[in-house]
Amino acid sequence: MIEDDQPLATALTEALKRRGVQSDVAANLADGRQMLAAARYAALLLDLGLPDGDGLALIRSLRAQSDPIPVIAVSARSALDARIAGLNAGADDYVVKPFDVDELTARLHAVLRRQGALAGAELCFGNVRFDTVSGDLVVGEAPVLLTARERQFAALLLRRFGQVVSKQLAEDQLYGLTEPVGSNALEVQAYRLRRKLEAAGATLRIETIRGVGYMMRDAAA
Amino acid sequence: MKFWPRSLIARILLLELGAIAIAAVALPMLLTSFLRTEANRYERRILGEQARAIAHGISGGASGPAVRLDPTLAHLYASPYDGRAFVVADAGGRTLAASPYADLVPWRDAPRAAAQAAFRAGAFVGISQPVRVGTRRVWVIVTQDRTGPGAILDDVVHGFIRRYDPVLVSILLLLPLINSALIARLFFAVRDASRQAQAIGPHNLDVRIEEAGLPLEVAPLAHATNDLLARLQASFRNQSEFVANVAHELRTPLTVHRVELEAVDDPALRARLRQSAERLGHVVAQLQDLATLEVMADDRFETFDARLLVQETVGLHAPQILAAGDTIGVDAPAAPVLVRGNPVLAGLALANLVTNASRHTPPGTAIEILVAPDGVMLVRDDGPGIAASNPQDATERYWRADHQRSDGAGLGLSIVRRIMEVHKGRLTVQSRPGEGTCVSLRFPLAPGAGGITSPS
Repeated sequence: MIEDDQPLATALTEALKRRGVQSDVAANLADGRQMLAAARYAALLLDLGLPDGDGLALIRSLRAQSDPIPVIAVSARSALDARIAGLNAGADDYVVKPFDVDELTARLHAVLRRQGALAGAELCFGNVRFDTVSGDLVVGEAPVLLTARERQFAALLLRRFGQVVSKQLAEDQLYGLTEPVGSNALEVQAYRLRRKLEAAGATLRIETIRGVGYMMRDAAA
Repeated sequence: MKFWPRSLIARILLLELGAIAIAAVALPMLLTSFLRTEANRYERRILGEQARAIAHGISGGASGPAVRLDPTLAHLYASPYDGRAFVVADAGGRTLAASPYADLVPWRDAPRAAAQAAFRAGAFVGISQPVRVGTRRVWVIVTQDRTGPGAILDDVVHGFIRRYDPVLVSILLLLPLINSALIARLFFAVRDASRQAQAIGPHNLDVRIEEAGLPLEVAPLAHATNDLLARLQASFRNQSEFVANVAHELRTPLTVHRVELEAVDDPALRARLRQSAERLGHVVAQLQDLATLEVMADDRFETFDARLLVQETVGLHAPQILAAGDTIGVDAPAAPVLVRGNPVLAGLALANLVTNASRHTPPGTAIEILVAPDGVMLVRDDGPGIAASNPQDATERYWRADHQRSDGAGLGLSIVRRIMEVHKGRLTVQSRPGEGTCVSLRFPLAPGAGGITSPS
């Protein structure tokens, strides 16, 4: 964690520790760079406004060195420019002060998971487990039989769990750019996957945001 | 002054008309007088010259002075026309020589002085010129009838003035016309500048009064007004930056507050603290948005697809809306709806409406966003509606439906209103208690995009 505000750094370290996340704190960019070079960290929580420079510069230099470390930018700026600047510079996600520690933890887990999933790990939400390599989906202990398209759809939704997957993106991923897509093809897929998850007693639900896309979320949470 | 008008033009016209009336009366009188004086001098000079010419022809003989006239002069005095006559008389009044009709004129009234003298007798005017002949002194007296048909000078003068006066007065009357035309031009320029000034408010302080083309006399006022606007704008900008800075400074301690309150053991107290911290954070964020948008408002506009903006914004906020137990959906046409604007600000406006529709309604509210081909984005909910006589009031800063909640909802709609002002778009709020609220944002369509562009 690179954060110059001492009280916040201390409070955050404590709060994250309570959630099982260990963190080291650097108070400025220079210290942060040294620590990143000295040890291997799972993720970087980076305040953008630091006394010795702009945190965005650090993200750019990390990405320039092809360092894949997941970065969550912490901004005290208005949500407007934080989003644009942070994500453009190569941050994986951002939170705007004042944020909720639970929200921060969720985002932290999400970026770690995304990286893990890309590396071929298992995605677990509620009582659902999904193997991103084999494409096997298990609810509780019972495997659910999925078609290839349904598997692709489930993987897409689970990788972006809790976020909206736009219709456009889903169509591109499921059908490619060349294949012609019927107007309700995606809806049919969502309907089938939803039915199968329900039948298996999954706590996860596929929400349709009409005119926008789909989102997987935990109905029990 | 009762009859003294306030209008500058009326005053000038009134003064000019007065001056013209005086001139119309006084000028003929003055002219007559000048012309008459001039004519008299001229008359006298001619008579004097003739008297001298006659005097020239006088020669002293043994039998007294004899007069030998130049033939042209003799011809001139051969008729009684115009009462023209001459007499050469001595001091005793004896006629030494005379023109044929000299008896018809009152030459005896002529003074016989040591120097040339003019005289007037009835209708006649004359000159008495002393001449020394030998040891004697005689006088040449020349007369003319002023009323005679040949002495047309008076008639000329009167006729001239009778004709000249109307011409002069009409020319004078043209002056107020020309003046009022000129003043009217000045007046229109001033009125134009006033209109421009009138259209300037706290929300378009970047507009300036057009100084080019203003008359020199009025330009300083416009210039001073523009200077004032520049200072006002700078002060507004400073204020916005100050608010943004304050909000920025508040964010970090607020975060500490939110993180630290986890240590509170009492769950009820923790929940209350957390709620108040959330409200604080929301207000701070909105204050900062409001201040930031003033700075961003100057950014260049671009053309963007309103449908994509709506889909992106709804996608971003759908998780929290679904988590609150509400539903959300978008209806958009198949073809792009290309509008002009700042997409970041437009997205902020839309986000405010969408989150408002969820925050200020009970769980289970259905929120719908409609995109119309004419650049209108409509956010509709089936919530309890706004209980106010005029829902449009809800866009006023600090207005809140229940006047109780302090969650920054009042700021939210004023942010939206400000964004629409920046876009020269339109914000309308329709609401009826029990029937939900419908807020529409109209963005200007991109030029050439009449809503019939083909999908890319």
